[in-house]
Amino acid sequence: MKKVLFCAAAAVLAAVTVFGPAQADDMKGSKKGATIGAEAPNFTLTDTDGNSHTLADLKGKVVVLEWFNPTCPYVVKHHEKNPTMKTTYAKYKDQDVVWLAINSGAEGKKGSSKEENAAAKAKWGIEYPVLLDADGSVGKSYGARTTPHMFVIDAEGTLVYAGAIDNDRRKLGDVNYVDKALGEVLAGKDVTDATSKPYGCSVKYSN
Amino acid sequence: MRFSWLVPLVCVFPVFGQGLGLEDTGKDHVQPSLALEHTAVAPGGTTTLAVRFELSDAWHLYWSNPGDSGDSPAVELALPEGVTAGEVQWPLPFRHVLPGDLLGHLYEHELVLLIPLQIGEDVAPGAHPLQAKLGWLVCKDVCLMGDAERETTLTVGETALDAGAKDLFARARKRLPRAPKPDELQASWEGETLTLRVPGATGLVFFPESEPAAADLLRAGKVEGERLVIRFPELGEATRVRGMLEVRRGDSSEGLRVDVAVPAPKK
Repeated sequence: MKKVLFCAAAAVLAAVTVFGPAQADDMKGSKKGATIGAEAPNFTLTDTDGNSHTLADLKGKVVVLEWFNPTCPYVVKHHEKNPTMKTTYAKYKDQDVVWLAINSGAEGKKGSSKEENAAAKAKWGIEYPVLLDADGSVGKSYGARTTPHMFVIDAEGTLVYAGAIDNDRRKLGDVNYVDKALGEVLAGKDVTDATSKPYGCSVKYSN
Repeated sequence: MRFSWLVPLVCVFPVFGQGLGLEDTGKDHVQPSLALEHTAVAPGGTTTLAVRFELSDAWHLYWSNPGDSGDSPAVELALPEGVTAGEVQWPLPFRHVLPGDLLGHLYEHELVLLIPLQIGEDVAPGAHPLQAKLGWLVCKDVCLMGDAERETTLTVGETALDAGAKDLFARARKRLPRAPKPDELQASWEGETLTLRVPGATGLVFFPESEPAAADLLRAGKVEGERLVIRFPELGEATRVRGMLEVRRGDSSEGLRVDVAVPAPKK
């Protein structure tokens, strides 16, 4: 019998520009999303332990934002099936890199509650905060569409990467875009793959 | 038997036997099955394989360009020696906007993919097994992954249609976009902006393939009237823009195939 590999989907991840111009308005954020090379939108969010985090306080550090939903199979893939997030975080945590998971799911939607997120954090041994953005304003200010959707912000507060964690939505990719971007940023170089098409479940916005 | 590989143009699927890399936790909401249009096909002839996904209420699958999130089902075939498969034919999806302005190209209730099969002249008469490994992401308020293996028999002999499959194939073909009639679909380019016009249409919805990426499909991809304007900011080396166009004329709606040449970049 002959084997035929048959693609029922275009599998090449396109480099896609993230939405429109960034807005300097910290309070409302922008519905359009953040732009590579522009200032990353500021925010203040509370994590599952009740602690508050403000992006502007993290100037001087490189920041990774990971859009998160514990019920999404793609998030499970990178936390439970493969330790992608944990490994990448561990590699850079002692180099002044801050990693924040953000859940922009609306209250009442599956995977959005503080309890579910706290439980996932414990179960998966996530060592970084999981922030709750129930009204979705921070997610929208970044243009976060999927879980996971990754953003890297340099020490000056500029957005330098936005997109997928890696280059394969089905298997484990052989290029980890966040690892690559962090390596380049910390070495003072430009990020060569600044955008990729994110994959995952839709962010469960309220409106 | 000797194995041989046929890798189509864009394919980063896992190797047959290593599984599809998707978990099997979403089997409850999808009932997959295979059907061949013919009970028997003569050597040198053609038939069509239907891969049917029957869905639980309110659960959906995604088109090959899923939109802002999600992923389309995966089909991996093991064909008899001498039998080749053509391109998968997708039906027209429906466009759905989720809270947060997230665009999805979805199927509900039933998705039937049609795959043309060419039987080589030298294929021996008789029964040949045909296997499919299927994987999918099925979503409602959450997403689940599932997979299944299905098998059917391709019989090489005197050509005969399967009467029992007639309704399935008729239904599936009805949902496929058709080729536009002469002058029915006018396409023109201005720089990286494509205008699609269907004279007489009261509304248009454009479903472009994932590559090259269309800008702002959320706002530009659905219009009232007969003209749709959409930008492709990253044409790169692309020579064609493909996809489907849903054309509304009053209450009626049908799908047209879109396959437009991209003009060569000006020197």
